[in-house]
Amino acid sequence: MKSRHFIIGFVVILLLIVGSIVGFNLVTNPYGLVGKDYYKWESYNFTKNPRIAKIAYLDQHHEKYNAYIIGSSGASAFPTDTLGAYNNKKNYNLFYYGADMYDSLNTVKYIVENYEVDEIFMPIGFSSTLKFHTTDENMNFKMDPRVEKESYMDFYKTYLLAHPEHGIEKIKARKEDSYFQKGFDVFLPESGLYDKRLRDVEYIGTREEYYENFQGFQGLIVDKQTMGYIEEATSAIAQIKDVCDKNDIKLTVVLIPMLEEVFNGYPEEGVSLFYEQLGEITDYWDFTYTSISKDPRYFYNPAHFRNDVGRMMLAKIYNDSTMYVPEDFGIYVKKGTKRTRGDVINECKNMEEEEYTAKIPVLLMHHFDENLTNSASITKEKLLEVCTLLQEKGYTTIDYYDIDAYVNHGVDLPSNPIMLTLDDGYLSNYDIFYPVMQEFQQKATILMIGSSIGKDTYKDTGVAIYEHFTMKQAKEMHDSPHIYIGSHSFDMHQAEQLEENPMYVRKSMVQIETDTEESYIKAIREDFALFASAYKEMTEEPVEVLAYPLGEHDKYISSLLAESGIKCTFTTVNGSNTIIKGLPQTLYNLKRNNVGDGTNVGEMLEKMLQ
Amino acid sequence: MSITSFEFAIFVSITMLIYYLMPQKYQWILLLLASYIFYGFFGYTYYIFLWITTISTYVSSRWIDKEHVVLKKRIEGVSLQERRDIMAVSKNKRKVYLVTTLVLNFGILFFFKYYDIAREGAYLLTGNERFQVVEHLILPLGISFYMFQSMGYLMDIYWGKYPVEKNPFKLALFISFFPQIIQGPISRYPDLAPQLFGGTTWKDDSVKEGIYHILFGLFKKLIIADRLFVLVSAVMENHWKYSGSVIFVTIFIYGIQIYCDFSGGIHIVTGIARLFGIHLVKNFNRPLFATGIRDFWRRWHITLGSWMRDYVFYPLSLSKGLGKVNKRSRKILGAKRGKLVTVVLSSIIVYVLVGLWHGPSLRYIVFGLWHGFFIAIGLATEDIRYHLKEKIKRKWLYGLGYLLTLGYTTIVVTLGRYFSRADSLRQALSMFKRTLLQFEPSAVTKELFMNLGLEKTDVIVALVSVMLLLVFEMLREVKVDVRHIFEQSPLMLQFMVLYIFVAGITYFGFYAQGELPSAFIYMQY
Repeated sequence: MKSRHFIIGFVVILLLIVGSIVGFNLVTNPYGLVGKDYYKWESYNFTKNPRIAKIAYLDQHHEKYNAYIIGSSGASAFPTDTLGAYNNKKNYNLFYYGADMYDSLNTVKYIVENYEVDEIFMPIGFSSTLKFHTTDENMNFKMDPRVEKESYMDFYKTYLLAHPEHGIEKIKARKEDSYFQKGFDVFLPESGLYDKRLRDVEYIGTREEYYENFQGFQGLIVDKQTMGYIEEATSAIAQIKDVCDKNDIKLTVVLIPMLEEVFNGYPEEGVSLFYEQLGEITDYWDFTYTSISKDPRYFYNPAHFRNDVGRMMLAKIYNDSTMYVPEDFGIYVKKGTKRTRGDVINECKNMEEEEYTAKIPVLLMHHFDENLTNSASITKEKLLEVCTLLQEKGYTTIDYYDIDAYVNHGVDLPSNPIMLTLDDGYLSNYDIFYPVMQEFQQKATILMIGSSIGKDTYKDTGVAIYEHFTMKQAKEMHDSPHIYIGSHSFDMHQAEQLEENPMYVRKSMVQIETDTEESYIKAIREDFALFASAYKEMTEEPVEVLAYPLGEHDKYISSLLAESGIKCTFTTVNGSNTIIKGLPQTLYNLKRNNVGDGTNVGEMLEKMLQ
Repeated sequence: MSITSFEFAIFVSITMLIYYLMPQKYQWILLLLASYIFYGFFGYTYYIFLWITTISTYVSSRWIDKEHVVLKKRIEGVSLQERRDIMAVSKNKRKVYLVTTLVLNFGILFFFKYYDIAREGAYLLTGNERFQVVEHLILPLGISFYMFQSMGYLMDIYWGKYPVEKNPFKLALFISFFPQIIQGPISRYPDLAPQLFGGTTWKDDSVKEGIYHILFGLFKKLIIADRLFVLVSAVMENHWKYSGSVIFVTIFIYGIQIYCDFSGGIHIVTGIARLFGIHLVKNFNRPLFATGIRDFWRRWHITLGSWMRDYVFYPLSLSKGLGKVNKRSRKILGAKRGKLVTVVLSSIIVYVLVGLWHGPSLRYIVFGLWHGFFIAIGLATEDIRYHLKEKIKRKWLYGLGYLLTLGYTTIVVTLGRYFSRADSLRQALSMFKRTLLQFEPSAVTKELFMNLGLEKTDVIVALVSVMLLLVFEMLREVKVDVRHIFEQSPLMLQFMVLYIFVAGITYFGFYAQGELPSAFIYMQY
């Protein structure tokens, strides 16, 4: 081969290879470099690099928003719809994981220059003083050069010539993608929030259970932190304030809640200096160290508080007195106020566990029958025995309204609260149970199966079943102060032997083998819609309470139901429940204890409440 | 800016474009500019030392040259005795210029290489915290290479080997020429200067050769050396856990790693120079096939070896001191054996210096002594071996002898690398001890290949690549012109091979950067 041919061939090969890589990276767009790509999978791009992908997303959609939440992952727990309800703005949560104040400053400058911005909500933590303007080569952390005013060549070289494995990873992930959050797509692009649909329905329970279920809390030791960038961080905040003032943008600075052990990791001098310097720049809200800090259940992990805590913070900031907010949670600090770490500790209230948590035993019954035709039946005598026992032992029966008011609004429960629940919706609930409730002035929750309402045969089969109460009877009970009617699904408690095709029988609400994810979600939604439609005949209230058929549940069904509006679910797991003020998710997956005709309820309750 | 980086590729491409568009007369100015820009990427403070060397070399060389000129005029028409006196005075003057410059430059090098160790020593001796090394001095990049190059030039001027360079900027380019400043090769003025200053036009053959070199260099560095580095480091970090056989094999692999790292870098540098139409001197000649330690040093880091030969060995051998030793030893041992004494002595001194060139550590002195010792043995047994060789008539016996020599060289060189690879002399000796006393061959498969520290794919890539390299070098060793064979093959096949090679380097080389180290080992010297 002639030398000339060799050189031309080499250059062509080089261009071909480089071109293929660039093309592949542009098409797969694993880091969200380009706003629109073949996959249109923003949540994946956000996860890989929120700094690049969120800006790329907003460049295309910023007309939809006029207020932004800026910060690191500590700013992730502020639901934009809740904030929007308070500030009447269209909010976008533009937080980046691992962001420092340099990132925040540049982001603010960029959005102010390029988008319409009315408000900036800026949650910050002490961690913002730990680093500043780090030159991170990690592809997950690089900033868009338009935002950070860094080298365009370095940026485009990094991402356009990125290892094809990143794109391949995205293609593979696409195949594994699910409706639910997975490790590779943890964001909700439309709001910029973390997708916490699964974490916000997880079981919380007692502290001990929480320590057991969530690693990292128990015995947590946090190394002493070096707040080496206080000057830089506060200077950046001052510049952000300046940008906002000049552009007539409302800036809300919020110091975020910290777990006690994490708070203690920060040195006294550094914390006081940070407070002092921040106080010289702006007014701010301080939520750092309060009674919330002392209970890990308000935190997803030691570094991140729960969305419910974010909601409480917003309620405090926007003075929403209907929501529960602990007394010591959040202090508005005026500019110029000197504040030290000692002041913060002194303001923190040591709340007793009993002040904000409640133990709720829940009893489960089904049918009342003198003949005890099945194991789920009890006699009226047994029922009377249970009610009498509760009365004598000083228990107060409560219903969904009570526990909802407790967790959301902080309304205290009566002493010795207990819940009575009945599954399926048999006529005996109306004929026998309801009058007893009236007689004892007690409350209970009945979870009815939508397809069985008013029926004594199994759907259209003509096969006889226990008779179920009618919608009219349900309404009568629900309208009374004694009974709350909830759902036990519309038709997801099917009897295998009575269904036509055993392959498609839904005995419970969890996914069955013949389901695809899509068909499953569709089935759940359709079932819920059918139940809601039936429920509407009875009340204008939304369906908010559900008992899982057969008690079978997993995080996916919990999440799907939560999306549909369910706020309280019952399982058939035995045990007592702990519900917590300010954490409405403690109403999910409540445990229940079945009462059979031979059950010694007194002993059972004693065991549960030990 | 690493010479394997994308930025460097862009930098070279732009420089090339301008270079070939410029009038030849001024091309050297661009090369000087590019060289300083390139060097500046590593830190502007390094300029200071580069300038000190350049200015001192220039000034001193001009003074020495002036003395030469003055001397020529002065000795015209004078008596022999007067001529001798004038020459002696002139020589002394020149010597003062030379020695002052050598002391200044090598003093800087010595300071940087030995400052930390001196402080550590002082701290150990006195216990005074003032001497404690808190932050290590960073050696200016490539200082060992450009300093040797410029001091070689100065000594040549002192000896009147060629005319002095009168243009300080041209001399600056000779010292700082950008592809080679970081890790050599150490070039000689008469070889390099005319190419640098004469300018050139685009030549397809030269550019093609440059591409070959660059690709081969990238293959050696990115695909082989960077992978073997992981394996070697994994074993060396916990060397006490491994048996002697594992350590020996690891150091052998280290030998391949450092060869591919250093020679890979030299190939890239040579290739870049070829893109500008400049030939650089050869620095390696298949050292893995050396038969004897002297032969090894004729194949490994050739330019350092030849520099030491020309500027240390010969002057040392011809020095008065060794002259006396020579006379005395001849008297005692006879002419033939007596002559050997000075050669052996000079060799040992040279290789100790070669060792010290690498760094300020006792282990490098031992490294030098090790090589010096085996070279001395080689010299002492040269006659016997020659006679033996003469007597061998059968081909297979000749082949066996070759293999034995190859094995001997590999073992000696590998054992010598214990001292250059270990972190301290103590570590080297401990590894040495284990190799001699706990040599368990079965441990190699059990321990080494089970704890590679590399992904399976990387192991396969490294093994296949090393095999390819060995086959390629073996063919070259037996004078098979591989490139010619390649260029005679069908065009389509050539492009396919080229495509696979470039794609392979891209995928297994460039995309492994970040996970694998990419700094060249010899950049630190």
